[in-house]
Amino acid sequence: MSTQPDKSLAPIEETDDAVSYAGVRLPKAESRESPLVPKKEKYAEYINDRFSVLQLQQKLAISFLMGEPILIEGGTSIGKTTAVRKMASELGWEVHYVNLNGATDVEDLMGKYIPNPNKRQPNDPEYIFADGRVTSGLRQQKGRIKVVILDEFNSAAPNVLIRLHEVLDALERGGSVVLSEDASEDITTSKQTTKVVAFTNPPGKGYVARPALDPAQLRRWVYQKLPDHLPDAAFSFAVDALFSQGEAHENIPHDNFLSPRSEPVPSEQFAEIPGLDVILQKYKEFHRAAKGLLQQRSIGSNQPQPFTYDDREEPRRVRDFVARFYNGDITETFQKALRYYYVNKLIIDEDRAKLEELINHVSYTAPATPSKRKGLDAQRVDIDAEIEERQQQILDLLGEKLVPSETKRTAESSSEREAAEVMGEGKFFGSASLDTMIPGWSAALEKLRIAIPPLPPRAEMERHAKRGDVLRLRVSKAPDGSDLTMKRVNELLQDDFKKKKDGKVLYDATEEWKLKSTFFTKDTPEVAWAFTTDTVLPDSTNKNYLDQTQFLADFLRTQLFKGEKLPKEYEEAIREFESQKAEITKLMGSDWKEAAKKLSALRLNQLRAAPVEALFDFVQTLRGTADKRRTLVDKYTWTNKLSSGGHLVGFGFCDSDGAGVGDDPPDYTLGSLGVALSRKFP
Amino acid sequence: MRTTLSPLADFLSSCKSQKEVSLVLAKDEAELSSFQDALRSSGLVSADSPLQLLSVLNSDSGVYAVVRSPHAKDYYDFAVQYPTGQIELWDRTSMQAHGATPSYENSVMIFLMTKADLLSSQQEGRDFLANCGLVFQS
Repeated sequence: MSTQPDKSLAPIEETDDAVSYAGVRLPKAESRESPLVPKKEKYAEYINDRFSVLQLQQKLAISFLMGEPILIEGGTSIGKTTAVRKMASELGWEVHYVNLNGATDVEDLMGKYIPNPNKRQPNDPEYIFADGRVTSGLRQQKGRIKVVILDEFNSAAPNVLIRLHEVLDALERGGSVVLSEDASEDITTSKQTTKVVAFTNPPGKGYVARPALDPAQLRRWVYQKLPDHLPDAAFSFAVDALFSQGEAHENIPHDNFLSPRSEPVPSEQFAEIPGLDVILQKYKEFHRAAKGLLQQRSIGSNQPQPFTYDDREEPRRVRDFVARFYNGDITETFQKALRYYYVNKLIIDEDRAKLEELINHVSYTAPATPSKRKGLDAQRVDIDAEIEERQQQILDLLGEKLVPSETKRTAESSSEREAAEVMGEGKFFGSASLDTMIPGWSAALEKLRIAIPPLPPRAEMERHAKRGDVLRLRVSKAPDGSDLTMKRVNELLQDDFKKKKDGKVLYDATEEWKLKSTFFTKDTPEVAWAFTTDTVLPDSTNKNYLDQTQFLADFLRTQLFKGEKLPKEYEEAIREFESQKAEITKLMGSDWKEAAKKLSALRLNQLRAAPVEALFDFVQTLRGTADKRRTLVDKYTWTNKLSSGGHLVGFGFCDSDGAGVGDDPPDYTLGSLGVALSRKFP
Repeated sequence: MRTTLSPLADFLSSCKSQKEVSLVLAKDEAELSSFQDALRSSGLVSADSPLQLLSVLNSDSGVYAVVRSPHAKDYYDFAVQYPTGQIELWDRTSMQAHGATPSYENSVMIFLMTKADLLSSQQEGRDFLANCGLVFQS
């Protein structure tokens, strides 16, 4: 059953009737004359670098061979569509291209009745059914093979997605797609002759109106994540090739090649594959572990497109892969399948490495020739013992991996390092910054059972980085497990401040009104990432609390999300404010305490920090910057908390005399009293 | 509104043989009109619709089209596909695909649009800036 790859194979090898892409052989169409077949000469300069061969062409070839619809997520400039068209030009396959951006008319895709252009006789029908862009790709024509490209798939309207899913389901079962409402028109589909590939740009990440897809919709697809930009090595190779400074084809190590069997292993012959029972046990553990890592956000946490490892689809795909690519070494074949269907959904090297570590355990070593004194039972015991040992290794590994990433002993993950790069120097305070406030704090999170939430999406980081905002992690407990109240922060750090000649933490921590107020003695920071400003937002001072709230609404519309549609949560927050504004205005004159209560509860005002959070931010910034930067050094921010007397609490003037805390009724205004931003995630 | 020809003429010479559609952005309708005159006097052929664009695609003297909202999606599809070596547009009347193969050698392909149209396309999710190569604005 062995079909080892030929070591002399070129990355792309063409014969009269087929083309191989890093070993994956696809048949040429018998009938290649069609205006929809791309012209081969147009791709004479195509550069077959390692990225293009292995990450694009080989992946596409595997999915085409397996008859699986493939959905590739990657940036606009990495050459996804060009790779398909180039392959189609070599194979003589038709390309049926649909860009789903703005396409809402299902009839364009699925066909409709049009006036019969060939009507000559009275008996000729008035209308005939004309295929749409997708159905023309589904229509089987002798000798033709067609690729349907669904570009910008995540821009598709919901009604379009529903119909496309019907198409995928029909292709999967080799059934028919009903085209007209009266079911008088249908097309019998075949995944042998129609290949479907969808492309998406990463949701968010600067791509306008690109929402993430529902993970349930991804089940139908083999989802593959590619970089947003061409990797450096590919870019460098391409530049050299373009200027004739190097080859146009990169040498690809042959262990990256796959060699499909001419016919898949029949299911009844699976039992003959040595070690399959061992591998399957380990695969089950692997699948559970991979799912666990994903659910715990230990992998994929920075990918805005959520996905799952599906309990039904993934095993079926792995089985089909093994049947098609089994080369006599079940470990190698299985591991390649797991890389294709599991690892390729991840983009960060660290995430991929975690799964690779697990994949290494999905292996089978043929037992040594049994001793003459051992019978078959003894051999069985050896295998069982090995399974047990391997399972334990995997579980041991999971014991570490399944701990949420935030509770790991390493103070700063690679995701945080990337976030720090995006935000810029002095603008990111992650888990490591806790240790600058109190040594050993980040390591203590594990025993405090504090789970660090996933970082905000990169697009949001980029949005705030452009403004010069800070991204910080706040936690709710001190390393000793005590609640991190304002009072406690002062107790914990006052001596340290003195010792380091940083002055005082709080200007006055003994006033009775503070000690009677929950904002001072009970409230703790919410465990969250927050985008914050070091000082109050420009033009937010000299305003009463109501006007500051209006200012926040305007800030969202005209500054933070300028030219964009507001996120739903903020639209709702503004609607809530507008619906209460008249009543609050009235209350400001008649019952200011009720007005203050209503104002502090408004969702819009959750964009302000609580006093304890503002204090946390002050200490974190002071301790986390080489120049001992101070937040709110000459301004007060009006927080969203009430004092025991019902006033709204202000916090600021964080100079060496200690941070000031005051409270005022909502109609108060002051030139140094504004709003500092505190936008939390999640 | 006064538009000097020379910066645009310089830009046009840079657009030659580009593998992406080039974009000329006008501040307003008046400037768009003056850019149209300038492009015409530079010998570029005008296409009145996306499908017509396919038929004059490889004109030796270069081609330009004014991107307007009724056809913005088709022009966007055109711009996205132009670098891929094959362009396929759909005729909704005849329900037929029309394909063409761009020849990049000495070709000039210009999209002309106002900033207002660019912005409204962006808001509808069609990012011409990301899918065009060289961009000119006065």
